[in-house]
Amino acid sequence: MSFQRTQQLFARFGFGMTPAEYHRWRKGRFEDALDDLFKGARRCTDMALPDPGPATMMDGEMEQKPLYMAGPQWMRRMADPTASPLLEKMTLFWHGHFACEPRAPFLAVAYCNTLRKNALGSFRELLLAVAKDASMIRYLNNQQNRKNSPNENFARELLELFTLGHGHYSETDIKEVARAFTGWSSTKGGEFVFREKLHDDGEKTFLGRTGKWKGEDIVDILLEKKRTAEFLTTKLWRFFVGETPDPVAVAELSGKFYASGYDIGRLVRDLAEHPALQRPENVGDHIKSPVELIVGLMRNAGFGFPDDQSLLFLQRAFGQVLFAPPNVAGWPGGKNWIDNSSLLQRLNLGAALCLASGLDIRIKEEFESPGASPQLKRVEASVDLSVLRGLLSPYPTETPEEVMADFFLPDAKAVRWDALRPVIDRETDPERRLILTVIGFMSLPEFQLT
Amino acid sequence: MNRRKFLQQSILAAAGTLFAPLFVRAIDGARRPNAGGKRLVVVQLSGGNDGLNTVVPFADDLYHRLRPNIALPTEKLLRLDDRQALHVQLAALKGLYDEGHLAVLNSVGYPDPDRSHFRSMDIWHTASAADEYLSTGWLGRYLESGCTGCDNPHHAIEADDVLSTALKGHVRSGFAISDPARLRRGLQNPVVQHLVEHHHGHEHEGNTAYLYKTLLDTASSVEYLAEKLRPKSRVLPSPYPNSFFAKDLRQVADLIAADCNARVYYVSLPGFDTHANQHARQDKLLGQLGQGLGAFVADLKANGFLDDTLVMVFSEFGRRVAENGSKGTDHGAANNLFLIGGALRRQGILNPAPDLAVLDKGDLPYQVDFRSVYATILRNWLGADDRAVLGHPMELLDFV
Repeated sequence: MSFQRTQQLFARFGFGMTPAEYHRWRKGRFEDALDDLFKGARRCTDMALPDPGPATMMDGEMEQKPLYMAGPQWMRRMADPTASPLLEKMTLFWHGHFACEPRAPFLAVAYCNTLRKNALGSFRELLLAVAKDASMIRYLNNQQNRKNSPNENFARELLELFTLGHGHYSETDIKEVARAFTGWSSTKGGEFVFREKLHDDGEKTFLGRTGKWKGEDIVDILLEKKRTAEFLTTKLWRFFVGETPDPVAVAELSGKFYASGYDIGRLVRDLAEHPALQRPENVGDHIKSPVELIVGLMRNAGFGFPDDQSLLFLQRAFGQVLFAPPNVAGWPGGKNWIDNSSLLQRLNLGAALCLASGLDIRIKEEFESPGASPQLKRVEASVDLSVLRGLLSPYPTETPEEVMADFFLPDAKAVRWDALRPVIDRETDPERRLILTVIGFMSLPEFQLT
Repeated sequence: MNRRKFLQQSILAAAGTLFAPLFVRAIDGARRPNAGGKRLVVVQLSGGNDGLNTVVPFADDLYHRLRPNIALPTEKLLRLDDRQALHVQLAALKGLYDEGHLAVLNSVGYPDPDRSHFRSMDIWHTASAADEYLSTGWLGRYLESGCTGCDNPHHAIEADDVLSTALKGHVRSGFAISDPARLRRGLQNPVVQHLVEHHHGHEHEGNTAYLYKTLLDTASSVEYLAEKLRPKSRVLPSPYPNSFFAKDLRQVADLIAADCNARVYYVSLPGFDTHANQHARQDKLLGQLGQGLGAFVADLKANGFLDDTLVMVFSEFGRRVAENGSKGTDHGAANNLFLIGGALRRQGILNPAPDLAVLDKGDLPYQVDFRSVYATILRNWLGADDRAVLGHPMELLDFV
């Protein structure tokens, strides 16, 4: 029971367990695992910035391929067992919350670092850092937000998607917020700059309060609203706990979050400890996002993708390209990941990668590529079986398949052995049996859940 | 024998022993979607097709002045009226125009146009306003709320392996299939096949149930479509050209001819982002578009399906009116849109050519909101409640 809870903790607040973590916590206490996870997130190191490239990239057309290579770079970090899985998971959450499409690789990495640095800190600091991030300033047109010709794009999303949620402000509020953020701009090199001459320093009335508000004041007024804490708590609940938030629990958690002065780390820890995670409707009910799915394979099961193109291809094939969310509302998640085609591709991923049969997907061409010949692409992958042998070796008296079921699936008791046995039991050779077992588990719908 | 080969063989052998007839939920032919037999084919030109070099305002001096290098010369034009002409590669569409099967809507767009491919395409797919973010597509919502009896995913089919947002609903989505054989192979995984054959019904809850249901629906639809696509001979008045786009259209025509009861088909032709040396690229793509659509429409017409078919051809935006410094064009705003069918209520050019003297930041301002086009198709063609799908009333047009 306690171990199952620890496994869920790793799955939801990280990317699952490596065999080493499995060995360690199978006998360990949940509370210690929790401490460990949060301790590990205290050390935050930036991702390396790639060369900024020509400055014209900021204003000209996006260079898509190099831009999206920052995504594979980030996935490799998520899959690195020495990086904090909690910190990377939170950074991924904020990437969906503060959804943004940077215009150049170095800006993507800088934006990602901004999120990571504040991911478990103060929401006030995070929100201000995002508002000053060059990628966000450009994505939501604050670069064009000037005194006398305000652009409301950032203001609207700040209220609708980042803090209060729809229906808790008026159109006038948006206009006033836009005025308060006039002059919040960025240089071509990606630095924040406050252009005082473009700032409207007149009086504004926002949510009933009048003053010569600047952007920082608007943030403070937003944080004074309990609604902001509630909105964020609900969203974090959906991401970590389950699709249907429990209103009583959310009210209690968001009250604590508000009282703590928007301490994200405390709220996330409260969520991680919350008994609601163990309610039957929330156990094994989270559909893995494509990034969670692939990173889990890389981090825990010995799968390797030698080239970044393959990782990018998988992101595109399954519908989650890092640094290219569908829009500023981020990835809807949940059932939205699954349709007829994506489900079959996901169920056959293990077979495709292990049998080197290639991934049979014709994916949409990018906008600028010539339309003549959409190609089936091959994903280069490798499987290091020593990782799974390492999983099994400490348990010589246990059935390997049962250890693997416990390792791979949210509920080892609900395994459809009737579907797996005919495939696995054909083999006696331990190595072949091992790989068929991996393919078998990956072919189960339950593998998509955690 | 190397390990990979061996594994491949052993899994195939395992597949062989389990090759019992696939359990398939019977798809009831009697329960047909209620759209009066009408169907919609959406053709998406991805990348932002340069509409001004597609339906060319050749009589406008500004066109030539703003595009000194890329304005099309007379010999590359097929005149529609005394103001506008089609690109020469669209000869097939000129034929449809002459026969009364083509309508051109000029200056279709939306307020506060977004010049990002991704965002603008997202707006077209979800039918949102520029400052609104939706996670479902207009055709997905049509399946859910507008299309009575559309309880199988294959009632909206996209010729692709990745389903577009346009066809995604909250709990019900369209069906992506570029190659039925490929989907069938996906179901031959022995574990997957076993689960499909031996589904126990109601043992799952929540998202587990959702995944199993999606799997079973997929298996049913794949069998159904594969059966429908079994080669049957029909008269092809003109052969389909050799392009992926034409192959996709051919598959759509095969499904229509086989009486597959899909209401919506979705096909894409990518590559229209012509920032530099536009002529070569656009000539080639419009050639594929024109020849592909020409063969498709001729096929439908000869076999009696054109009167129940409406084709809409759109792109996420048009391009800047003035050419750039690289003999190309940058991202623009409003664009023209084609409607093709055997039962158009109005044909030809439906509204005035764009006024190149009145621009918004160098781009064409919109005259017709694309959601009016959607609303008209939903209500007047598919017999659906356009307000339920779009969330608010839009002005209806009269092309169908």
